[in-house]
Amino acid sequence: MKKLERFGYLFKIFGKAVAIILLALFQISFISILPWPFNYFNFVLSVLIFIVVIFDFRQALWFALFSGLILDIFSLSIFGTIAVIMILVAMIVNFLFRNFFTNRSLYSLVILGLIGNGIYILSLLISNFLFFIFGATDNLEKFFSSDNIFGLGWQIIFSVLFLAIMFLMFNFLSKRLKSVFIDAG
Amino acid sequence: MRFFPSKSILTIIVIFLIILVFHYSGILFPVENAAVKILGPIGSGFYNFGQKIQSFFKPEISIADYEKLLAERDRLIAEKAELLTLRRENEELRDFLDFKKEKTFDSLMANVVGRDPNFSNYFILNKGSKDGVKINLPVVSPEGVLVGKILKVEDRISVMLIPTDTNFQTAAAILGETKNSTSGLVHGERGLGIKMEFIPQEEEISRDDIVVTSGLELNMPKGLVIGRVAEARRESRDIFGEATISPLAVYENLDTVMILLPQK
Repeated sequence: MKKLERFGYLFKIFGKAVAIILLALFQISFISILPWPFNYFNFVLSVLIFIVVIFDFRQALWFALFSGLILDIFSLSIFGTIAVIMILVAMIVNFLFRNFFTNRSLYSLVILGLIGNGIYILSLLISNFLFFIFGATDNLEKFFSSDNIFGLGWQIIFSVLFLAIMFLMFNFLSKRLKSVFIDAG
Repeated sequence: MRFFPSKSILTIIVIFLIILVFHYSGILFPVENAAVKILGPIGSGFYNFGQKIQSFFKPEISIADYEKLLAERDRLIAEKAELLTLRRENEELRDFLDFKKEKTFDSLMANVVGRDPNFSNYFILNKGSKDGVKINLPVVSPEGVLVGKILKVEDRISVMLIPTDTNFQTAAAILGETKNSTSGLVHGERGLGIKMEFIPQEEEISRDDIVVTSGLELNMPKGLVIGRVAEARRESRDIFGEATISPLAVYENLDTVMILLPQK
């Protein structure tokens, strides 16, 4: 019986790893080739924020680490940059959710989505700026190009829309977000 | 208020640091290469699926445009025949005069598997340094149009920069009606278009002139088509003129490309 449980646990981990890989590849090979501004939708980041708020912070951290590392392999940025930023976003969103938001509502998710995307963009800007100063990359000019700045604005809009749709779908399909009343009588 | 540290965060940070050390010391390279090799085909699958979806939204061409294209094709067939004759003559004369043979290039076919997650003008190709790819090598479409340059190389993958990107630059020449070709510098404009600068003021250029690589750059062959002149500008107070180039390839639709490798 114990063997079977262990097998089930390993199978679950394997399933989650495959899901992370597929999500990251979906971002690199599908979303990034869509026409402007749809290519700015950060699907992986949106899923991360959804996991932090709706599911579990621990799982979100693993998701942030491994999806970030896969994106790093295929990215021009210094290896590890995206993973660090994703972990940072997960930590800050979790901190805000635990301490300043009372429940798992649509409004909480939307505001945390806005904040999460803002932190991601700001961290990307700071990291690009630091790497530029130390001569590691020359992506700074690219970051400040007009199409990129507008694109980042679209990133926030798409992410918030995605989170809202996901919340409504999840609310419809699962009992996890529904209010529960304890009947004392 | 608890922010840091919890056991999970510390575990993740330690694992991340170990991965980072292993990556930069090269211990992780075989694992990364294997991952890229396995993930490449899945990425290609997603990429092709995305291309198919995009093709649904492509505007259809009118009958008038179609007829214009047919006429243009016929004109080009005749021009090609003329050029082939000239090429043969040129080769014969070169042999006769014992001219030094021009540097030749091998081509390596590569598939686009995706784009950089943060900068969409950087295309990820499934060939890397193990296949002979090096930084700054030119990349052409199957039709022979220059579509980029290699910017970053890993063992199994490389990143290509398209000509519309701000960081793209190459020496170019305009093939117009005049006997001499006009030289200048081509560079991308914020991912939106291509510009040619440093065109001598006295040179005559006109709309639809073909822009090709001039071969003045290391590892960049002469005569790779970049685009056509869409607009030429010259101010009397400036030393040089400039032109807007319209690309001859649709970079967004690229799925197979050729990397030009210099022959040893």
